[in-house]
Amino acid sequence: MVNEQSAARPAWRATDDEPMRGPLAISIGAHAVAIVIILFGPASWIGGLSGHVNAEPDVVMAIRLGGPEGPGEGGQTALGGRPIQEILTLEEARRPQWIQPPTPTPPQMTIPVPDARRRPEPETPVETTPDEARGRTPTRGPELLEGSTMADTGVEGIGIGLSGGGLGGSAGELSLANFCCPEYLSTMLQLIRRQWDSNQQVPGVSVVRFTIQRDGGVDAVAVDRSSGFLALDMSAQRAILMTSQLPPLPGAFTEPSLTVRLTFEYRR
Amino acid sequence: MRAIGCYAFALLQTTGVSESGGAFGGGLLELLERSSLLSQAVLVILGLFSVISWAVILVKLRQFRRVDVQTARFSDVFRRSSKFSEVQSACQSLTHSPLAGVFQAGYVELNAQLRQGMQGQTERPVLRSFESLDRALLRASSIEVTKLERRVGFLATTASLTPFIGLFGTVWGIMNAFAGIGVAGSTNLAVVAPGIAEALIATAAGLFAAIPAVYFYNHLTQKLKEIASTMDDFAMEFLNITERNFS
Repeated sequence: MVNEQSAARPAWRATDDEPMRGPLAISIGAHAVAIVIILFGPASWIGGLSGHVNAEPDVVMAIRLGGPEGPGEGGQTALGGRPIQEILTLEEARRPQWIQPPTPTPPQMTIPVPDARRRPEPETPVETTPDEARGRTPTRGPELLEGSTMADTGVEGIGIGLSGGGLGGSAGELSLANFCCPEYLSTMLQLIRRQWDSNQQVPGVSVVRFTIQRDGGVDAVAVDRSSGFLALDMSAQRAILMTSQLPPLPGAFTEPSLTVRLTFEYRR
Repeated sequence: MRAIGCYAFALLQTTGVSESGGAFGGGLLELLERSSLLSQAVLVILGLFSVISWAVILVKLRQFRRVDVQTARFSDVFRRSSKFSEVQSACQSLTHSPLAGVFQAGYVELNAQLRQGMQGQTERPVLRSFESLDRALLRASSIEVTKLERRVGFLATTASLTPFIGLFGTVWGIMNAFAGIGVAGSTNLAVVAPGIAEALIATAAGLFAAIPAVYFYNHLTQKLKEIASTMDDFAMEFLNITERNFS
């Protein structure tokens, strides 16, 4: 009887079990690769969650976004970027000088000429309005009006004119590397500040790094230094991502792209 | 299992060190790093389920492929042979074919009955009990099916359990997110969204583990049904041949 039972399930078949070790190692390896790809792969492979800067760019500049608003946002000073304003010594007030009228000259008497002829008045022909001009609002002729076109006067400011001119000592970080054109930065920061919700009710400083391509496209947005609050980091990233299109880089800037480290300073 | 757990933990540690180095940007890694210990534990559990289920899938696919190849070879040998002894000798090399296992069980039972039936007789051997032979074939068939079914149940467990584990992690994360909203005192989307995004990772991981498990469980179960049906056919054919020759 025992022989029959063992014969129904031969020993060499009963022990014939598939080994798990090899497939398990393959599975672990495949999962490790998948995790590495998901965590460290390019953002375009899995969506926008992963912001990974592939290579260290050549040009990196740091700008601090925070503090009171500068002239670009209707602030009060045009001396943006200066860490500390100069303290002006008040000059002694001058006494107001009266404006003296010219010395009156006595009227000079002239003797009229008795037989002088009256100067003929020029006859002005009666001018009639041409037919095609009738019915229109009369104009006052050419006149100078204040236009909106910006004229390049060749004058360059000291800084980018966005932060608060050093008020409170908060807007002092400015490292433009070899960037040539502060006007571009001013425009860029205005666009970003429009999208930035600085009122997060939590104080903190978040540094975000991003790259501006030659055509003005923004990519490689990543948190360079976290504020410790995900909400602040996400808000800063969102400000840049929603700005997605900036003006093309100026021609004077020869690099293919510009990488910016932008510091977002949140105040309570 | 312990080795896998250590591996997963080491992987988490490695990623944590990399992040603290500041070489990588925010995103998924940062969400994982900020998530609570429970959420991370849920992710590790789901990872283990996924790893083991894929290992089972690989094992079973390889096993079933061998079964297909060797069953085809056995059927060929069975049809060409005129004697059971020839088939029996060929079965020694076909260790993965369930038909070979069924055949061997029937052959052994047949031999045992014939040996008993031939004692003291010189005539043509006669089978004593077809029911006994049928039971032996059924039993061998059941053993083979059990062997093929081994570990397939884990896929069903993974398919049904991991979405719930992921859902649990998500619910827990959303609870924390709402607690964070209460602390911050703001319903700003920037406050709400990261917590929810972090929480949803657990659901995504659960589905990541469950979807292949569901697919391959159905695939392997269907395959098992086909093999069982083939074994039933073969058992009937074996009985018919035996009845023709030994009754």
